[in-house]
Amino acid sequence: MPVSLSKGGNVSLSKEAPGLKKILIGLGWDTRATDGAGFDLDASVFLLSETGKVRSDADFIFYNNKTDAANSVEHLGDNLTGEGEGDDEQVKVMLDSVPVDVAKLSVAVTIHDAETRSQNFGMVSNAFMRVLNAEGGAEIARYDLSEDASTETAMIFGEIYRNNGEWKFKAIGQGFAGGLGPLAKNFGVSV
Amino acid sequence: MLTLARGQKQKLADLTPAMQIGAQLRALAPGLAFDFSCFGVDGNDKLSDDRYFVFFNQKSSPEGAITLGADGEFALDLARLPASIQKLVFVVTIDGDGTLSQLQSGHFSLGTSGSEVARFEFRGSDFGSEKAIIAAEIYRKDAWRLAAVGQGFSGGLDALLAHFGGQQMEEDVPTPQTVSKPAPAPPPREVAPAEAAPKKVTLTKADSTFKIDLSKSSGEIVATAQWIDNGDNRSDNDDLDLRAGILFPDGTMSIVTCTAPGSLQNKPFVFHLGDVKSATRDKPGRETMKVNPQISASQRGKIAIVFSIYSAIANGPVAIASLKPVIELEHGNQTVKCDLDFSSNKDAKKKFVYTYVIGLAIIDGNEVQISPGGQVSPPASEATPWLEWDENGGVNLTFTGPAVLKSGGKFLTGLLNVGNSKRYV
Repeated sequence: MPVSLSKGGNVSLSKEAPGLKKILIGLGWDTRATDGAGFDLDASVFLLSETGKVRSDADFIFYNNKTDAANSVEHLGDNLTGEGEGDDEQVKVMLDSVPVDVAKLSVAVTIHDAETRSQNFGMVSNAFMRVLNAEGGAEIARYDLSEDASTETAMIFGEIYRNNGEWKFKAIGQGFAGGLGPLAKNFGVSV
Repeated sequence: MLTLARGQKQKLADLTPAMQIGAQLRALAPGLAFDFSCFGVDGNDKLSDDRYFVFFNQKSSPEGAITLGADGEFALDLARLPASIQKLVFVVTIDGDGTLSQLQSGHFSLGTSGSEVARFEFRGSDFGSEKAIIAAEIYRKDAWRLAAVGQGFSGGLDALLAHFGGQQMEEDVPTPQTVSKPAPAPPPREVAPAEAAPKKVTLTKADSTFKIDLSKSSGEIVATAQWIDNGDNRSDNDDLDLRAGILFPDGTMSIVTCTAPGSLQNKPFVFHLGDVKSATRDKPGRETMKVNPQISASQRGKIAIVFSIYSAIANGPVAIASLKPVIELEHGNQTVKCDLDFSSNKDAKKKFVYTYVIGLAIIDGNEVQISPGGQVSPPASEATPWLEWDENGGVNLTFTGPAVLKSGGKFLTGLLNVGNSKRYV
């Protein structure tokens, strides 16, 4: 049963799906049907220490850096147009492999070149981000970007964080101005 | 009053509790004339009931829930709309020449009992070569919502109709004059390159292209054409034939049909696996060809293959468009499907059109570039699609190839080809 998340809502991943080992973050959208520059959405994950910053630039997992040193997070490939059914981009997180000094993983979605292309999530049809159990594919949480983040171009979707020995997911749904570069910088990545 | 940015969505209930609302489309540009219309579409974004295309020739939906008055003003009564109508799409089209980039100002606004509750403003700088735009949408998603869209099509109203799949439109509904004018082709689109993972790409636009990389697998290229019974309760007119015309580097052409199946190991390196004579809705007709992936390497040059669907004269009148032919080209785990909606092509809907181009492949070494093609033969012509290399290394396709009959012998074939010096080798 997927949990519909309001901003700031918490889901205990261990409670929602006990024995959860791997989660998938899915990002999906429809190919642009109208004329004009295509919609290129990007999923990324930041591995953050207690300080809320990355330990090193290698902790910024995105289309050009598909996995971290511990292989705990793996970006399964960039999709430039939204072509295809279901998730168009996926990031796999192996919870047991996440290094102990990583306190939380921040999950973000951005539109590539949103500013020059004058795009926002509302212009994209059926854009969503979701978290699911990689084993069995049960959906844990979902966010409708087209509908509920229509005027945003970048968003921190949520956080997967450690809490008393278990993993929890917190929906954030916080828009962010400026795109992937400034977002990465915000998390301490030198870009 | 709420001012919406492009892309912005808003629940209607946050703006007004009323279900009877006024919507207004405005567009201003010196020297340009605009038409304003509203499409009431179903849950699949299709105009499945053309009575819900409200425009200057059809000013009201059947129950009167959408009515068009003067100057792009619509009176809406959302409560009276049938559940089948999930979205109202408000559209601005240019009547005549020009593009929306010339727009000085324009807006979509909503109001109740005389006061404006929401407005979305757009201007020329929001657009490029678009000749038709979706300004805004009012749609059901849990509750009624409003979206400021501001996106469109350079193909104008034709492209818009194709987008909403208004199939009966061309025959049943008087359409605005702009439909009859040839629309400029939208710019070619290139789809993202294939990933290593299994990938199936569907091309739905005539000029879209996609590349298959032959180095990723060693097998043959399999081309499978498929079509359905058109539901006309006749079993004599679903017998389509898949054909391939192969252009070699030296400019000669070969043809492969079910009666001249070719060869995989020798020239023409394309082989037809056999004829299929009928199709039903549940069991589509399917014909398959195989292409030797070494065809380009062995011939030391580029190869072009035009895949077409042919319906013999003897099969009786049938618009092939109604059989929805598609072709899939498969190599290893890469699949490209060409799925053109021929119903949006007026020429393709004519009866006595015997040949439809459903796919065009250009093989250069290990790279196959695929596009749907979409050309159709002139009515009542047995001419086959003929390819010639152009100066830029591309191909020109014309319906000037010699007739190739399934049966009928040399006499009839010869008669049909009198005066045509082109021959298949």
